[in-house]
Amino acid sequence: MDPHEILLHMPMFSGVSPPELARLLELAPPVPISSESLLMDVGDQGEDLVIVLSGGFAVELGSGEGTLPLAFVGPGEILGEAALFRRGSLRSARVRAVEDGLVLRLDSSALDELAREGNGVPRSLEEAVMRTLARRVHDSVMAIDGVLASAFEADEPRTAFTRLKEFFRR
Amino acid sequence: MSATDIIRALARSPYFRGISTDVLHSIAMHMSLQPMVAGEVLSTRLQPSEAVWLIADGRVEVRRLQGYKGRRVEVPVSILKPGMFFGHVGLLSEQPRTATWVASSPGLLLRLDRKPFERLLADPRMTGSAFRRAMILALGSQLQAVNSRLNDFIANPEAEVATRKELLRDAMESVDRVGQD
Repeated sequence: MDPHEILLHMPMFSGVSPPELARLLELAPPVPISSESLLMDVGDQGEDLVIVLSGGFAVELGSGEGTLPLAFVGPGEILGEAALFRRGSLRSARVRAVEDGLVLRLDSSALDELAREGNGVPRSLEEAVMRTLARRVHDSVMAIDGVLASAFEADEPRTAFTRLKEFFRR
Repeated sequence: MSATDIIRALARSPYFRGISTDVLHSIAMHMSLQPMVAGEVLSTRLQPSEAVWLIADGRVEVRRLQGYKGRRVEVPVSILKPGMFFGHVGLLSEQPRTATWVASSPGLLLRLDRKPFERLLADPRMTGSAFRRAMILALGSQLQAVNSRLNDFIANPEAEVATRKELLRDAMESVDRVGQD
């Protein structure tokens, strides 16, 4: 599907006009991503926000057998959301492509330009980033204080990692 | 405390750095003042999320329910300082409270109830953008902190177990002391 068509069908851009979305594509042209490529890693300096047009991405912590999958992100969702409005902040999770995909990478100068032009994209993104962050904070807090705590309460700290994996899989 | 004082309190928060006085004034108009006394329970775990607070003065302790070997107790996990928000995650994610907040000193809170909070989020002007970005800054810091804790646990689960046991032991001893009094 044409990237402009995909954007038009994204719920987060429901209040944004077609010409405004066309302008977004001018400033952040679609970038193809190959399966298994690393989009961002823990500790990387965050420069941009990623809007997923197609494909699938795993958000993870840890490595090897200790890999903890936090979320699976697909079309219409965003990644690296904290960095766009917190310049210079560090990525707090790793993001890996699990299939071929197409994304937009929007940096803060492009966002500022859209805002200066009165484009509706920045407002839609603020709303989407805020809700996504709130959901991710809530999930991670529940993981720490709910899942880990229940493993300790049962005096089974060794089961904590397995319980965490099950929690995020749900 | 006057509206000017509320604006000054907002301006001191790292989440509103660089925001003009006019915009801070528009945000302040939605807020009410809530004094707190040391030891006061401000909101409890599992309560519906109906308000957001920003600390103007004083400190607030965050307590979370934890258990060990079948016994459960609320354990202090962090202290919030002036300029910090609390209560916003539950309201934005439409979830009940996951923590209990207790005033650890006398102080003053800026309170935003659900309706004015939603009006601010929907504001199409600079006021709404400044407020949404303040929320994003606060949530971004929180996500970094909680993911860092998860990373620490994955890297060194034994240290997390030891920290948790220590926190629980202190909290249980404190509960037992109150019970004996």
